[in-house]
Amino acid sequence: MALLHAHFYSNALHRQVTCDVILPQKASNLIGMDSAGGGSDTPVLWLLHGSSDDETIWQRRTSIERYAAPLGLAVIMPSVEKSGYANLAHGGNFYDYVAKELPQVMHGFFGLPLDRGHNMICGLSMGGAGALKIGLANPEFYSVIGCLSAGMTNRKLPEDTSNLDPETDRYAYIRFDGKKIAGTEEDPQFNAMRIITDGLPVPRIYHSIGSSDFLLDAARYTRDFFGTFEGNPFDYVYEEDPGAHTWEYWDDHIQSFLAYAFKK
Amino acid sequence: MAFFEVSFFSDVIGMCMSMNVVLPQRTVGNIGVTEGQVSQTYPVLWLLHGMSDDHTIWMRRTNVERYAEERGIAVVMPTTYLGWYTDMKFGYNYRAFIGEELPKICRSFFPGMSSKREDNWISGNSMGGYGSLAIALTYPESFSIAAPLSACFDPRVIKGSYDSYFSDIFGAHEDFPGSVNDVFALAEKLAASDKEKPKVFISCGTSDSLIGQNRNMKSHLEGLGYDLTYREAEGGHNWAFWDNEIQLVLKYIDGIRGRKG
Repeated sequence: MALLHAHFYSNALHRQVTCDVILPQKASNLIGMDSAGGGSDTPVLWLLHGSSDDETIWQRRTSIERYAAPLGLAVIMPSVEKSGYANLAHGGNFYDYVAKELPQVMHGFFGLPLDRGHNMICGLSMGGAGALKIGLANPEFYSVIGCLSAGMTNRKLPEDTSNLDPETDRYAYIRFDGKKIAGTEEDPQFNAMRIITDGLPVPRIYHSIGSSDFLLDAARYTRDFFGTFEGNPFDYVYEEDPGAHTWEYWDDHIQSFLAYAFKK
Repeated sequence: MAFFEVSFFSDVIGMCMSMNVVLPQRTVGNIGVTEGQVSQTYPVLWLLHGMSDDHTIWMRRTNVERYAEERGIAVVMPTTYLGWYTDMKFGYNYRAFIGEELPKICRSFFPGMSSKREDNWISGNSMGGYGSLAIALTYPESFSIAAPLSACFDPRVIKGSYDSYFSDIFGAHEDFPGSVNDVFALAEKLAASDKEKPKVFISCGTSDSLIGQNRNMKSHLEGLGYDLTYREAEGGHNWAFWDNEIQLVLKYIDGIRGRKG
């Protein structure tokens, strides 16, 4: 395996960005870890951080490289500040950056495959909601979605975005001020239903949250929503395991996600 | 332009290694830079550091990213630590690592890197100047141009307290002449073979203590019929000189590629 700290210019954000990348590398003399893969047949995991973190955090707090190595999996870890993976009303176009630009840029650098069979997206907390949002809005690109310790929306979406108070509701104001939500990428329920009604490719979904996590209500709301689809078309799996909003949980459950994603 | 700090595994060294990589990137609205044409595949400059330094040094002490950006080329900056880009007598096989294994590794990570001989050039300063010529002469099928800057072509100048350091890398002083680490002898052997020789660009500062060695290499390569461009300019063994000279290396390569500088 190789770890690359990438620095490059984003057309969507109009600035230099940083992104950590794990690339598979088949090695014979490597000690203590199996390795596999490399090349144009490489599966790709787009792995999203939470709201206090950055592109380095999955490397620092889990053993993601070790879990990816035997699978020959490439892992792309972008950094999006506290944007919620949204095109901010007041700020940068972080959704466009991660969902639209990054796959093309990474394909350009590394030749990573662009077909949906090879692409999956997962994240924790803000990144868990981000993975569901991005994955459901782009079912033609991601075939597996993982949401750890989050729900589709971790906070209730505002019904009227024209009168948000920048002082008392700063988070919603920065993200949604004056913007349409219904029917956009910010409306994952709409996008999930659209996948079924329009007969789009259906991503498989793994969802896990600690039983003492403070976002449990958001997760259960999401569980109930996916429970409404007859026959479980998303192959939706929901787990509430003992644990909280901590890296012990994520180091454990990113492995569960990979087992789900790679099960035959 | 994109910049990568890479940690990866070398089977030849048997160890995790570091390198820095600069890659062409088509962008819109990146301020203050001139982007060259970015092709699907692009040439690669393999750029080697000197003693005391590592894979980060060319980015820290020069503007090489900007010079590469104007041309749409990639730059790979590996490290040999203090190993002189040799297959060390007692140590690691750095020459095989950088001359043979690393191009394959890099092309697997970055499929845009050209594997054509004419698109692969190697340069470096001081010990890296020695390394650039040694690698190009050892793997002439892989590198079309070598551009040693302020090179130490005869490492036997390392004496005194460095005796055991020298012999761990090169073996005994008396065994050095004619060995695979003697770049004068490597140049002769390649000239006597039917293999294609790399073009060579040599530059050294006139107040550099290595100027004598560079003049010796000039007459040696000329005598052997190498396509040599030789330059001496006012300057010493320092980064102000190398930041200037690497631009002249790239202009020299522009000329060979028929690209207007």
